[in-house]
Amino acid sequence: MKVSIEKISREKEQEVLIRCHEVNGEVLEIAKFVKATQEGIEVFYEQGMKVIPLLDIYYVEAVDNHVFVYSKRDVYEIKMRLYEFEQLYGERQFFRCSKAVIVNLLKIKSLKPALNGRFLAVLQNGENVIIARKYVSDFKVKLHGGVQNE
Amino acid sequence: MSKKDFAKKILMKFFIIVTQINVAMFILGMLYDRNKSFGYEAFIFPIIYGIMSIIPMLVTYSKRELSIRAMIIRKIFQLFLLELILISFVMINGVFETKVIIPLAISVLIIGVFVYIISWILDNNEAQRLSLKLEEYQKKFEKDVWN
Repeated sequence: MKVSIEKISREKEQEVLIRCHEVNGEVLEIAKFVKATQEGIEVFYEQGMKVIPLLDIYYVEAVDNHVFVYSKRDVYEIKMRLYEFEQLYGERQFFRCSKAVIVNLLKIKSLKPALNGRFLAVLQNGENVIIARKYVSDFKVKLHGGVQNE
Repeated sequence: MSKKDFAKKILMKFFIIVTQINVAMFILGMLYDRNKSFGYEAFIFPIIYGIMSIIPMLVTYSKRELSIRAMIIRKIFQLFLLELILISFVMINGVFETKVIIPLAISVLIIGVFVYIISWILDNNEAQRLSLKLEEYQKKFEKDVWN
C-alpha cells in the first residue's frame, strides 16, 4: 500500500482518506487506529510538553497534589485534578477504581481477587491497580453499560 | 478509605455483632437455662463482646489502598490479635488450663483460616465472572469506536 502525505493550508480541514480496492480487515484497522488517535491529552515531562492519545493511557494516579498518567512504559504529569479528568473522560472507558486512581478499562487484561472485597486489575503492560471495595459495585454497573442489576 | 467511612463501617459491624450476640444468648438461654435470673450487669456483656470483636478489625484500616501483600500481613495480624483477645478473656475469667486454651486457639485459627479461604474462593469466582464481562465490554467498545 502506497502512503502519501500532503501538507495543506490551515483554512482546509485535515482529513485522512484511504483509497482501496476493497474494504477489508486491514483497511478497517487503519481507519480504527486513526479514529482512536484523534483524541489526546496534553502531558508534561522532563523534556517539555506533548499530546498523547487517550487510548495510550493505562491509568491515572493522584499522588501528593500531582496527577500522573501512565502509558505502556512512560509516566507523564497532567495539569488537572483527578476529579476533572474523571468529569471529562469518565463517561468513556475510564473508570475511577479507587480514591486516587482512574483506570482505562480497555487496558485491563484480567481481574483477580485482592482480599477484603477488592479486586486486582492486571493491566496489559504488567502493572496492577486495585479496584477498591467501595468502587466495585460501580465497576459492575459500568461493565453492564451503566445498567444496574443486570 | 477515609477515617469517617471506616468508623461508620466499624460502628455498623459493632451493632450487628451486639444484636447477634443478644439473639444467641436469648436462644441458648431459653434452650438450656430458661429459669436463670440476671442482674442489670448482664446487659453490658454483649457490648463488651462486641467491642472485643471489632478491635481486631481496626488493624485493617489504611488511608491508601493496601497492596495484596500488605493486606495479607494485616489479616494475619488481625487473626493473631483475635486469638490474643479471646485467650486473654478466657484467662481473665480464671481459666488457665492448656487443655482448654490450646484447643480454643487452634479452633479460632482453623475457623479464621477457613473464613479467609471461603472468602477468597467466592471473590475468585466473582473475579472470573467480571473478567468475562470486561471482555464483552472491551469488544463492544471497540465495535462502537469506529461505528
